[in-house]
Amino acid sequence: MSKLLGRKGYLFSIDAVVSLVLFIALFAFVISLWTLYAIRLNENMATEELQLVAFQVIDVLTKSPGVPSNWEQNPTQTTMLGLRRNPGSLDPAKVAAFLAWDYDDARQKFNVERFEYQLRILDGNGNVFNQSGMAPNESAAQSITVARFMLLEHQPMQILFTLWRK
Amino acid sequence: MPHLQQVERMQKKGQGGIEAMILIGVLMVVFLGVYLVYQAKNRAVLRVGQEIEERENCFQLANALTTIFVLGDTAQLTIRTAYEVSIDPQQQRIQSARAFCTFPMPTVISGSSSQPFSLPQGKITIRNEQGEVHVQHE
Repeated sequence: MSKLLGRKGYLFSIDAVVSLVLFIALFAFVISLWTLYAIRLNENMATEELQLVAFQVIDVLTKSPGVPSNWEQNPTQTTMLGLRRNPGSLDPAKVAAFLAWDYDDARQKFNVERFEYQLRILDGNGNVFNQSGMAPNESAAQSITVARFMLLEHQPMQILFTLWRK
Repeated sequence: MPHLQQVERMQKKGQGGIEAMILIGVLMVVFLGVYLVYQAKNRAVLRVGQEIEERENCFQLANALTTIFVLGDTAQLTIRTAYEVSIDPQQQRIQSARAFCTFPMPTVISGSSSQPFSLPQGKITIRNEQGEVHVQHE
């Protein structure tokens, strides 16, 4: 027994420790990559929502006359804002009324209070004919711009709707 | 003679290294930790997958409501949804178990009421009646 107790052994081997450290480092790398992809997935989902809402709002603006259809004459009775006069063409009176509409109220009407928006109307040469809302600034985390081509007073115009979030 | 060789083999000494036993124990703990992390991530992936499917379902319904609204009076559409949702017309919001989305118009009705209502999964008919979007489960 005393002979056995006197024998020397070793508790760790260097190669086992090194391999263990390498394994843990590799595992940590895989986990961090996993986490990075999860963050990107969440960003993509937020972008997708932004795209959907932007398309919905510009469709309502350019393809609907609003509710009631003469809302620009009775602003207090307005349920929904729309700019269409005929398919493919906008009503100048509705456009003027919308451009002058209270920004926060317009966001509330379109249910986009968690975002900011900007509407620009460009003429055939690409010059800004008119605009309203708030342009994306350095605090914008994500933004998306959707475009529609419509006639306004028989002139082709490009309607750009930008939706962004801080 | 074979018996003698067998006896000789049985009398040979071997060694059980204490360091090997400790290392195996450490490796078992490490792999147990890895397995627990894998289980947690696996559950997260499944949850996110479910959430994405419900969001897609929500977006499909929101797009349908918006499309019928802009198409005007008498427009009608039937879609099939895969998940139960609840629609709050006043908040202009569609909610399912793990996802939500919104729509831009406040004139969504079920039956004759604009109160919040639920839609089970299945066929849903959406129609425009004089600017109001009516939603009905078939």
